[in-house]
Amino acid sequence: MTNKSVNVKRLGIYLLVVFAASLTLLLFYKPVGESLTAFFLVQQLFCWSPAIACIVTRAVTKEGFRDMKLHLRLKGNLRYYLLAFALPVVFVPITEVLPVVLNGHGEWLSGLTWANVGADLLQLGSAAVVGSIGLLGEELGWRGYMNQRMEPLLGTIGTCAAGGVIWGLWHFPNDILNWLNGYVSFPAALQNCLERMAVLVLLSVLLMWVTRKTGSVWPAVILHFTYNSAISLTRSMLAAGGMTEGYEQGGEALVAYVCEFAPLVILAAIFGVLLLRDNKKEKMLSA
Amino acid sequence: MTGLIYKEWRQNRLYIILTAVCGAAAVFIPIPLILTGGDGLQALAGEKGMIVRVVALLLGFLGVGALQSLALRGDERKGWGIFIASSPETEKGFLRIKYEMIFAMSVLAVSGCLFFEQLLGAVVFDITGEALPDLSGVYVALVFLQIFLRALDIPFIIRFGDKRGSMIKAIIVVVLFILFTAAVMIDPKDIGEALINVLKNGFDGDGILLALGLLPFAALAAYFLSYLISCRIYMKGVEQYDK
Repeated sequence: MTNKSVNVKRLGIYLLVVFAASLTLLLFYKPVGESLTAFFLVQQLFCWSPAIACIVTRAVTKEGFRDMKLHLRLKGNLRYYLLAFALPVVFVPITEVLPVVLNGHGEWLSGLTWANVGADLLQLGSAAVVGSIGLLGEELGWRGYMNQRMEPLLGTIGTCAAGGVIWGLWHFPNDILNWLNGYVSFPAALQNCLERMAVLVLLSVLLMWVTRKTGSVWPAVILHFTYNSAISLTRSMLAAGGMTEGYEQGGEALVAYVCEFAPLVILAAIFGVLLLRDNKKEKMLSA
Repeated sequence: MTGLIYKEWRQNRLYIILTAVCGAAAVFIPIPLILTGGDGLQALAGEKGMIVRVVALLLGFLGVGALQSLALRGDERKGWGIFIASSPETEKGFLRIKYEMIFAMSVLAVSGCLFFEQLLGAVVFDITGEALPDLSGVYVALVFLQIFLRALDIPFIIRFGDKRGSMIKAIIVVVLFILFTAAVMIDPKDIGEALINVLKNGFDGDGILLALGLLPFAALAAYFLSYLISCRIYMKGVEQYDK
């Protein structure tokens, strides 16, 4: 068996396990809709399914657990850890606050006082240190396994694109569950999935870069956690100023989309170039 | 480095596993206490339940602290100290893994607490329809307090060994307490007023939030400083260990 076919086989097993676990959300949609306990347990299985798939695949294919990138590798890499925290803290508020300002709702910024922002930032920092471990369930699978097996097949940018699509599809059962339980319509569920997929393709570039630079999944865990938390913190501060969820209509929605994606596209482009430059350097060194 | 991690796991796996058990126990211990008190499960959501949960949490974290102290033992041998100092990792790498393991034990405890608290909240809601008050802020605060206390503990254990180190630490705490009590008794009014002024001026409504937010980072800085101190004093401690 060639290296390529070995990687294809391993990826196949991994994707089979990860999607089987994610589909339990739909298999148990009735108990999940009726019981908070069932919802919690199935949700935990869903959230940890990439890590479970990584461990199961490594055990089945006997490839070992050495390159799981679980070492912290803090020495010499602290700046990448700090960057993993700082990046979402800077660009997420831009994506949330800019459309509010451009759409003429400046009064909603009253919740964003220096004291509030400072206190939330510090709280986010301390939570990122001790509370982000839950996202190891995803990053151990995506960055700690899938990217490594995919890169020899699809190249770096191809891995970010395909990996982001797979990551987005993995979330789709969540959207279907919301539709089945009557929270959203099917078109809205589909729209959520496609939007999220686009975001995740772009985010994958950043996550791949920090993982590659440190040789560890932990900066990706911190970046992912900070990204999720920064969105909810910013929105709660805007809500404190009077913003309502889903306020964007017509032209305002277009502005919101542009502001949501533009910073991510720019960052993905920058880090994509950095990844390709690192690839070139490695090729020159190995030649 | 992987070898040292494996060595720590083989040596201390029982304590590491028990740390996760402590996290779960801290969440579930209140249940029989509440039920045997004659109240239903919905009392967990009330004031009495809150007090019992916080006390159980404190006891759980005390347990984790004890387990961390146990995990620091086992390497108090001169032969080991000389061997590790002469290895490529040196004593700095060995101590780094120790510090990371202790930190990971705290994170494991808080993760266990958060997981089981959410599970308990879901179960209580399904049975009683009441939502449990969220204690995640307390967990995070306790974890950083624990990290700060370990930052104080570990250099004493490294330098003097477990038994002597604990004794010397206790003596220092008692001396500091006596000095503070004496200072307060000599001139209680001035010191009391000074403390009240600091609290009033330094911590208004917004200031106190920011100050509280900085405490976790102060704990982390203390932990890193503790690591640097331990690296410096490790070989002095090794000279005193048994063969």
